[in-house]
Amino acid sequence: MKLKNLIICGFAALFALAPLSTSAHSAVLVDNAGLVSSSDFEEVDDVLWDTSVEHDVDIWVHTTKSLNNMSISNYADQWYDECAAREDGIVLVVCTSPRQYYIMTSGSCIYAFTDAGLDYIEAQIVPKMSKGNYADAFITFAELCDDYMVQAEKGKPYDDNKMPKKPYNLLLSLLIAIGAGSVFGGIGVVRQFSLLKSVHKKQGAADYKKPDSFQLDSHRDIYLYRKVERKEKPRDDTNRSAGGSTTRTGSSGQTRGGSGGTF
Amino acid sequence: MADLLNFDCPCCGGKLQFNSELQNMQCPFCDTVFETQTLVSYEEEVSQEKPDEMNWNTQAGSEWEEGEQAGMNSYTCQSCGGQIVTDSSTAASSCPYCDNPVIMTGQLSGELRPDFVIPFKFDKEAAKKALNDHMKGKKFLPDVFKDQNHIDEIKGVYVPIWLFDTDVNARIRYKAEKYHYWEDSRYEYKEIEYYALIRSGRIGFQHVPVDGSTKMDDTLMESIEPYDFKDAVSFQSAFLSGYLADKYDVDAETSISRANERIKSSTEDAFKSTTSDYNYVKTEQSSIQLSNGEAKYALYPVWILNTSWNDRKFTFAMNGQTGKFVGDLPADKSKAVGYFAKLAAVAAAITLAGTYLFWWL
Repeated sequence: MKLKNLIICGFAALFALAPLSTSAHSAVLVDNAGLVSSSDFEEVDDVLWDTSVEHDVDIWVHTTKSLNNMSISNYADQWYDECAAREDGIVLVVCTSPRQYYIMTSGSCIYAFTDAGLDYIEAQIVPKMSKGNYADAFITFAELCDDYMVQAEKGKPYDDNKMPKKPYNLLLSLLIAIGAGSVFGGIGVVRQFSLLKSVHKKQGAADYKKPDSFQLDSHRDIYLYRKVERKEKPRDDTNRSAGGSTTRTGSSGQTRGGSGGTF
Repeated sequence: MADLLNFDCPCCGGKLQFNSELQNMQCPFCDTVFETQTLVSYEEEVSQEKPDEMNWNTQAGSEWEEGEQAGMNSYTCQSCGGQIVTDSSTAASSCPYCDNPVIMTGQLSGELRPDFVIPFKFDKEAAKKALNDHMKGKKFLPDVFKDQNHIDEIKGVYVPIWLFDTDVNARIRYKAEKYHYWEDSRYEYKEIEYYALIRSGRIGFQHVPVDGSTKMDDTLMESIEPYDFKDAVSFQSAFLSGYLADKYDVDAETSISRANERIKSSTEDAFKSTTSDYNYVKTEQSSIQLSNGEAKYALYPVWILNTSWNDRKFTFAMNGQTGKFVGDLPADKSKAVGYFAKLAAVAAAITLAGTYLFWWL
């Protein structure tokens, strides 16, 4: 780990000093677990690099086969402390044994990537990683980082009250529209059919009551028994306060944000 | 205590047992607990319940006055067997119920003389207009159905009706439920309190009509109700002039069951109106005792049109007193399919645009 990290840190130093160009840059995709094919590697790395440069933050994706008996958050902290060129940054660490991931944020990225924002990113990339589409997941990660940074630079980072717009799902919308159309059409047809029927049996003789003949002589209400039904309320599974980012103290004493899980 | 052990559970009907720990009666089947005094009160009420007593004096109608029948002709339908009566100045050529030819079988004889008649207030033109209005706005009505209707053959018929008057003494037991809701941090609660409601009292009904003709569809006749008896007058054969009259072939005794059914239903509804404090009320037992029950024989005015379409018979009827018009109409399935497709397409397009707008905003 130490040797690897030293080599990677060397790249990081070069990265920090690199000119603001998309060509001939050092790798910001550190694929130690070999999850991205060589043909996809350059495209993923370029997208990550371009986003990093554009927003002047470190954006890394690091894959590993092992966590060296550390928790994945500590692993991410340590890796970032040793390798990142800037205080402001975000790293996605993906481990294959165990199959865990963690997104760690540092500096201004804690502000840009709120808890709700990270939940959204995870919801977009985890299904892809679960299917083995790592290159696609990492490109999505980079694109979302770009979107999040743009939003944060406007002073309105994505949070509970405003999340990124999901792509318009035409198929789902069509299904909803067909369902709604069928329901409305069905209601209209039933209504029209009911207009054709006007012959109905009378239930009683209410029209023929003698005026003022109804007289209640006695009434008694006897309470018999009671039953109580109980239904559990739906639980609010978010322990967060209203919006913002949850922070913790990293292994080096720095303030860190982040979120992770399995895939 | 031995008597108490014979109580049936008001909840599920099982035999109750005394629970010495609770010092109350408990059902071993549904675990419901009852206070002993409650069960005593409940059993007292249940033990007072009696079966219905619905007796009637059915001496309705009267003898024809001398010479009165001589001015009336009787016709018989060769198809449905219906007997039609007209005054001597009115000729009948076809049966108002099945539209088949009728033949004159002589002068009226034998049958009871009606006690009352409600004269026609609406004429044939009004009936034709009502039929046209009835078919307006019906999107599925086959076009050819309107064209094929022999609207001029609409006939004014006096339909024989048995009228039932009675005073009712009722004692009704309802099962009722009252709901209370509350919640704590983890659960939502619904408490259901079960009650037995006992109501007793009196109500009266007058001129409850029951169709006395098998040819006139009972449901069709009830659909054009109500008739207002204030317009009824003592029967005079002069009212038949220009109209057909049907002779009853269902007697008053046979019509009692339908009258009882309607009176019992409305009595239960009337007493139920005193139970509005409860969320749910259902009649569990009712005991109806009739007094002063008597039947009368009357003729009620109806405009009738029979028509057939695609080998199905359709009958329309209009209340000759109030103008209320009824009659089931046929549907053109291809029109229904087209209407569904149009409506569904418009609704789907609006929904699709709505989902896009919702996404865009």
